Amino acid sequence: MTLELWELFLAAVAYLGALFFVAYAAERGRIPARLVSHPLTYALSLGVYATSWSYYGSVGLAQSGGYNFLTIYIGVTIAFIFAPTLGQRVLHIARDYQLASLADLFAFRYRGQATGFLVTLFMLFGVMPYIALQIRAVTESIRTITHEAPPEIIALVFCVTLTVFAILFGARHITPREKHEGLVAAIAFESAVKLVALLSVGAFAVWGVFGGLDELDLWLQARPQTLEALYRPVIEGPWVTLLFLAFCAAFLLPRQFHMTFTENLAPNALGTASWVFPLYLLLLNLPIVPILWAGQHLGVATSADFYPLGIALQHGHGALALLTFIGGISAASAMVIVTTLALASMCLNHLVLPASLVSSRAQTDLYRWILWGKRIAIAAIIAAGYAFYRLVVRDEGLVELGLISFVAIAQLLPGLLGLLFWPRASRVGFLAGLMGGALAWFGMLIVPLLVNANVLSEGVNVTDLLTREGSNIWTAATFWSLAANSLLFVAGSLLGERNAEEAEAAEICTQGDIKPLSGEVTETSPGQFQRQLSEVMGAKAGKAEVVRALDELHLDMHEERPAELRRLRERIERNLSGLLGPVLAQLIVDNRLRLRHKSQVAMAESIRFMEERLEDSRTQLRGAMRALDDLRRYHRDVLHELPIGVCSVSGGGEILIWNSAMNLLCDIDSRQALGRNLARLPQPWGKLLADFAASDDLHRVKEQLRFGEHRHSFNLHKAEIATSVGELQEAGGLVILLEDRTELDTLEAELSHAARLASIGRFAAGVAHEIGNPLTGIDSIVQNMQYDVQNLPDNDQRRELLQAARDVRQQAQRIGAIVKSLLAFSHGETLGAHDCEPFAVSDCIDEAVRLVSLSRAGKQVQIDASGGAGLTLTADRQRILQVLVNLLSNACDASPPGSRVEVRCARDGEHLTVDITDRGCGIPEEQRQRIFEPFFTTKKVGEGTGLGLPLAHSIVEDHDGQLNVHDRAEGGTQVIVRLPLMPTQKNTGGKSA
Amino acid sequence: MPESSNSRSAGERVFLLLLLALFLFASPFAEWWASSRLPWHFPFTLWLLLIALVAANQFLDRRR
Repeated sequence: MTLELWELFLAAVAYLGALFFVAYAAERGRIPARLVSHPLTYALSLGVYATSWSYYGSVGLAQSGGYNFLTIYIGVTIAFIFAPTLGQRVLHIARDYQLASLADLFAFRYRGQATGFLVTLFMLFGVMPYIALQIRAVTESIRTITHEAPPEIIALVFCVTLTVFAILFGARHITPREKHEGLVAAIAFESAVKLVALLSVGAFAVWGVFGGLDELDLWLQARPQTLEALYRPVIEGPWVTLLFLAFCAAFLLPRQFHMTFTENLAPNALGTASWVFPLYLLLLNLPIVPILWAGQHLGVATSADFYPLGIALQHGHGALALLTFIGGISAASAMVIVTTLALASMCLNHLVLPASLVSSRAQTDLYRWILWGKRIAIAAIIAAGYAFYRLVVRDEGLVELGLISFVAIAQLLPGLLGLLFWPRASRVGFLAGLMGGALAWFGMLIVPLLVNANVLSEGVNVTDLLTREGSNIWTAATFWSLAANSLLFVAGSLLGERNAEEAEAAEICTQGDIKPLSGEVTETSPGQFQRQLSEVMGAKAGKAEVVRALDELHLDMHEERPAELRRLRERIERNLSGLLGPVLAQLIVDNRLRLRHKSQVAMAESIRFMEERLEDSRTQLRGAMRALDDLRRYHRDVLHELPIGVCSVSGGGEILIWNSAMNLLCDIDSRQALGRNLARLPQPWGKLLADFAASDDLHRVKEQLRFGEHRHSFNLHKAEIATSVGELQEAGGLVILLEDRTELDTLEAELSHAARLASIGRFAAGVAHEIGNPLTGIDSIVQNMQYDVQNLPDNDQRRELLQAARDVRQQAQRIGAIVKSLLAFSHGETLGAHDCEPFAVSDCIDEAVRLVSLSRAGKQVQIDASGGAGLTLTADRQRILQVLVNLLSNACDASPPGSRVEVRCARDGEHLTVDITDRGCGIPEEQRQRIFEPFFTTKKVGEGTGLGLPLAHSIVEDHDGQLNVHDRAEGGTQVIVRLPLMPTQKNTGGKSA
Repeated sequence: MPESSNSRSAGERVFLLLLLALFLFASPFAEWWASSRLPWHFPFTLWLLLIALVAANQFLDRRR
């Protein structure tokens, strides 16, 4: 049976459309993300390895080379044993430095534009036969089905269709980075379609053609030479060579590198892929042999390559034939799409952009440049593949074309091994080896193709020259090309020189070695970064890259710390590497964001970089390294948890360490402090610390500093550090300790005050004793006077004299009470129970008013007392009188002449409140905290002792009351005394009032 | 230090798997099974055995 060409075309376009729909749905989130990023999806996407070669060519190779066809997949299985180890290393390097292709990877390691250029060029040539293979397979499959249409037209239409879909898959919109979740989903889908199609044909071959496995066994037993034809080439053929070539191709084919590393969405999926992908290949190849035997059994008229189609067509199974055709389209198209995407990226980064960016201006839109560049590159590569197919490919089998590409790809193996294991490998060695191997490959494999196609005339046959009799061409070509490559690689590396950048890249690749950043960027702000980059990349791209890097590092456009700007520069370079390749990225950044290498600044970045890398690589540290790291962490934690502020500063004044105590003391987060110049810290810390660091003092004690609402007291100490950090030449710096002694100072003041009070107590005891005697004398004399006056006739003079005597005795008693209070206050005594007695509040207030009125200030002020009638207070009357006299005296002293002082007395439940209000000058805010401090006074010397209010406060407290002082909004002061009407339990000693 | 010994033993297992793969497919043992007239699916059986061991190694790594 046959199918029409237009039916096949529609089926192919419909399939590719479905593939695109899967990709689109995955990108838009219509397919759940956990399915798209599932490790099984990733493993299936690696099935892009199986192309038309696997789909059709394996059957042909099984016929001509027996089980040699399995080597192409067993070699990959062996390579993937290393996926979780070496594969992960390559993946980390690619992700950390945003290396999107093989050329990027090699250009990163073997620094230089020539590396990327040569690898890209070689890949382009090396993969052309492989692309031509796909075109040939599709063309032949269509001719097998339709028996019509010139192959050139079919091939052309196929290539144009593929170009459109490749652009749709990988260059649809302006996205500067290479990850395409949709592509992974689509390729996984394509792998599943291939598997289903081939398994269907295999199942048909076993059950449809032979009638079952038993019948197949019977058929085989009748033809023992069939099995022998499968096994003999294992011994006689290039079995080991093909295993080796497939081993190389597993990671080095551009499409495999792209899907394994560039499009990797989940790093841990490599572990799952290490067995799922080989299992997929096993299932894909299981039907090959039954299909071969079915084709031989049926005597299908096509070449063995196309037996999958042939046996379906021969049996008239149109649907199966169509499914098989779709499987073939699937295999070919996926290979071409992914390969051209990978190659287009390489061409852009290493061939086109390095030349075109020279002439770019600020008006250039880099992203649009890259997008259109990629589209043109995709079209050009597919066109080149078509041209190779038309001009060069003649009657070679599909497998031969594939193996030519495999031998080309294998030339990258020495370079890859050098990248992973040999730090001494150099760019010179790599380029020499690659060119040597490429020359041998070209001479032995491409020249015969060109001669066969009449592109070149027949000359010296290098292949025959170098192929031993009885040896296989593939073994010879692989051996000679890799021998030349390896020898030149080793010789070139040993004899050539490496520059510092190469050495650094070598350490990163072989050991993941920690390399702190060095140097200071000449630009001093992200704005300047943007301006510099815009001149090369265009304003839009320049701004976008700076903004993106700032976001990733959680910085902002106002950043000015040298260490952070250094990190910003490094992040921009990495991001640009993902966009333009590492070589161009480094070129742009080195040219536009220059470094002052001799600068010591960025030591903070050095330390932070080392810390971050040590944390990241902690799980990989072993033995002594691990023990050292544990010690480092312990010392770091000790430093950071010290209760004293620790700050270390480089020789240039850059803050390197800022522990958590400094955070608390200065209220400056370590993220703000680290990397900043000491003098540029927020005030007052910048000035304090910078002055101290610059001075000759090693210690400063009780340094006073005011911030916030209070004064603080600090001790500062410093010491020089002689140790250098990393490889920076300039050693040294300072460590500064900051100790907050504010609380200590307050305690000292209180201690001193307590000592003073104790001495007052001792003094007061002596004074009381000294005063007591004359006081007793005064009282006795006045008492005698009273007796004498009482005997006089009753007249005004007698009454005045008696009143005066009573007043003198009252004042004497008051002096005694004051001395007694003073003694009690200084000794910290509380009120005794025997001192409390009930008395009329109003009488006490009147007496206080009378006594205050005797003073000069009291005479000038009108004192209004009210309330308290009928109120009885049980307390020490003399001391309450003293409180009232002190408060009224202060009120009168503060009031202007002619003003009024009000005394209001009221009952408040079980308490008495006495409100004394004046209209004086009030008490300033800064003094109000200190009014109860002994000896604190605002009066002139001799006018006040500063003991009145403290004594009053103490007496009120002894009575379990409160004394509060308030400022009046309309001016003046209000003092409120609140006392319990009855003494509390502590003051009665259990005695009830 | 369990983590470093884990990575060491993982490396050892990978090395052993490589040796086994080379033994099965790139040593005189391969010549032996190719010349022993074994059933046609024998190479697939060997291949499946290797894949199963790689899978087991991966599960072991994940558990640790």
